Amino acid sequence: MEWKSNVSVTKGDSYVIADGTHEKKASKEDEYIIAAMEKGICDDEKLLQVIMEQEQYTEMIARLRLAEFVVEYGDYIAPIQRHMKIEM
Amino acid sequence: MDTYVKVSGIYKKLKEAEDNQKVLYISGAAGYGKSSAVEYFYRKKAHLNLNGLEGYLKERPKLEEINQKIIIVDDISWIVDVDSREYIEQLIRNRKQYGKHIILLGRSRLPSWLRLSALDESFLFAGEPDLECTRDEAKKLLDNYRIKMEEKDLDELMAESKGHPLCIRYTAYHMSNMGKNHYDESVRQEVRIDMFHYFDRVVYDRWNNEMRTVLLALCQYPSFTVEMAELVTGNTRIPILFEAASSVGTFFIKADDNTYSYRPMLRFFFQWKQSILWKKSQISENFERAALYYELHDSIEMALFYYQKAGKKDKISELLIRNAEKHPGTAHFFETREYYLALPEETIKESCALMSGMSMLYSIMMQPESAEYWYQKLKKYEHHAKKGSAEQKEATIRIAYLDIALPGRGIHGIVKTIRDMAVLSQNKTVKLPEFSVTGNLPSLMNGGLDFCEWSRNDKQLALLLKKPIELALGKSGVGLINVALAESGFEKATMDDYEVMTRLNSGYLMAGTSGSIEICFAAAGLMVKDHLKNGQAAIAEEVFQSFQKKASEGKAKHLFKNMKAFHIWMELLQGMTKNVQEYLKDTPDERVAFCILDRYQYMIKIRCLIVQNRLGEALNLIEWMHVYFTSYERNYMWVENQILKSIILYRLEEKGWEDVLRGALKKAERYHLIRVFAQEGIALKPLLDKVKKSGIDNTYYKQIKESVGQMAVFYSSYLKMENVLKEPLTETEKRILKLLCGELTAHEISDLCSISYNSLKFHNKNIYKKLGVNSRGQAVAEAHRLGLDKV
Repeated sequence: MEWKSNVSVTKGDSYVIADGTHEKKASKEDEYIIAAMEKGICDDEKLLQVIMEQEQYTEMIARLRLAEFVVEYGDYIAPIQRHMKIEM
Repeated sequence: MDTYVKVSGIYKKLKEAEDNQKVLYISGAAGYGKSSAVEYFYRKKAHLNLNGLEGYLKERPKLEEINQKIIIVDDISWIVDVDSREYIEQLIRNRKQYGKHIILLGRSRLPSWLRLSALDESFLFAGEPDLECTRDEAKKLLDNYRIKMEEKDLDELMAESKGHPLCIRYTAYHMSNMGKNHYDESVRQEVRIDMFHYFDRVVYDRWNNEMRTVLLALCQYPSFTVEMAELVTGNTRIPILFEAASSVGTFFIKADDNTYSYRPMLRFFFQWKQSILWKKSQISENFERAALYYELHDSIEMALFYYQKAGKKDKISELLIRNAEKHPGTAHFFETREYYLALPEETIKESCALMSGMSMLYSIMMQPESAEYWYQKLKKYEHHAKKGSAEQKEATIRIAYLDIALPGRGIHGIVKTIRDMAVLSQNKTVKLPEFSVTGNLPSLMNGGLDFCEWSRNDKQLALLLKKPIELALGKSGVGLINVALAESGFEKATMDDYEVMTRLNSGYLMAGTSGSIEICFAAAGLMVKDHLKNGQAAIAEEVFQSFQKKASEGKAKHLFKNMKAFHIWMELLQGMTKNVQEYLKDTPDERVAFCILDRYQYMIKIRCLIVQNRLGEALNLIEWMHVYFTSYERNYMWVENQILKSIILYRLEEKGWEDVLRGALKKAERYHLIRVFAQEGIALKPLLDKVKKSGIDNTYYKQIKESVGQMAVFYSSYLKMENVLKEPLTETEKRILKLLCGELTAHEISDLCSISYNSLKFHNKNIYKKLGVNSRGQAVAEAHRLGLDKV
């Protein structure tokens, strides 16, 4: 998971995500995820690990938690372009 | 006064039988005047009357000893005695040898024991249509009683009696006795009573107790199956009894779907008889058994109807609670709303399922305040319930369910709610209510809820949500992600055909084997759309038919209406409009009662109205839908609705079309929706050619134009308005009209058509007359409006 190329993330009292036209103040609950991304953790599996450790969630709940994050900040997250494996 | 009036129909048959020396079998229910007709015909000729009413022929004289030439055997349907049957067969076989003519009378179809004789001897048949009085014959009968009935009254009498001779005779008799010339309710009542007494004597009295009980029990129902009859009566011999009834009379009409119904007059008779013989408690119990039958067959509306008739309030509540467990797509909330709305508030407040059901019902009826009222009642219930109790858990689950499923809520916070529900469902003692992810539509993105927002990060969310969704939704989640992802890629044109179809096929296979048919519908619908996008209408039709077969075999009745709507759309795309009129008759009327679950049907209805040039009605419906789509955050359908609106406004030459279309483009751009424009093809193309696209991304706009252009080529007759001319134009007139719409002068047109100027004037005059106009300019405008300039 990565931010779009035109997105900037600044940290004041809280994280602010901006794309030059709009900006969004991140909620406290999401800060640790943003912090992980700022540290360079882009792989979804690793982000899930972070969530599971931080919140003591099972994998399923962690997936839902990360999905919430994507829905919340979707305007700023780069869509996946690569061809995905079609799982049976 | 009471002179028999010759009925021409049966008279003809009797003459034909006599002239051709054929055995005549006359069948007709009681009161059709079979015996009277035959007696009248042979009033001047000696004839022998035999009767089988007792089950056998009391007299069986030897053929050679019978003096009379004519032998009439009445009530033949009742004969069960073997010797009597053989006697009759012998009469028939040897009649020519002895110069005899045979007429058989019965109330039923030809008895099976006579079928071989009928084949061998080429029987002639007469039935009720031959025995019915014509209007003139009815008039003559009334004249005999000196009744001068007005034409209007006579029309009513003929419509109600259907020419039944005895009914008409009773009517004449009572009008004469009452000194009336007007056919009114008091006359009808007297006639009814007389007919009932007649049936009592000639029908009811002939049966044993077992048959009577069954006939009295079933008369409460407009139709019934054998299974229902068995359950209601408690009698396991129903098939035998029905067969026995059919062999001696025509009590029942059997429909193609194997349901039975009474002949109307007989049903009234049995209902009258039942009201005399049965206690109220017996009638109630009877209704209760019928309700149980429908309950066991999952026909909740009918079950509720009969429980209400039985006065079983507790059963009604029980059924409504159980129904509230289902999702809106299968719960028939709207159809059963009168029962929900009639529940006392105190009863509802005692049940989480009912509070949840009421909230859902009001949301479906587009009454969000009332939906919210019951949602808050449920929250209050949860708050006051004992901590950790089963009641509190149930309330929590139902609140979470409403947070996800309430149509008016959109998808805000839905993932968090799903997460909370997933935590709850880890406790295996908690059962989650059903979900309808598709809302019975051929779509997931635009199904139960609008997921356009999620489509913006479709792949990301698909990767994250696949496992939790399949776990949380169980069967409803199997294949869902594959189909949802395919749909997102298809609608945005960001996925190639190979990937779309592969995902759809895998999703269909998974859902088909271990998932739900609703997902199969979504997958099949998208496959159809993809084939149509590529001009493969024949393959699209095959895919649809395969799914239709699957849905029929799986008895997925809840999908049928939207499947029908979908197929109408497929036909419209290909310019096939022959089923439009019929379809419109069956569509829900939003002005009577608006239900958001009918949204898909409404959207197809709009297109049908456009085709029929009922643009005003289409616009009205669009406005209804606009309110719904806006307040319930249905983004995709909002865009679709606005596109159709712009098409209509354009056709009406209203300037506002451009703003409407631009609004749709702006909204759709957020989600990169392409197909919602493309599917309108040729209907939308002229608008896109003209609209100023400022503020819309150029690449996105170009993609839309290309897709629309492609569909316009494949489906050039889509939404072409039907020719509404009273008298159609000839081919020559059509050709000339098209030329008139161009820039050519009259002389140029006449040269081009190789006709004289005077001939052209003649054709023009006819064209103007048919279009209802007075000049070339008006003709051109009208042609343009009706699309005749493009024919």
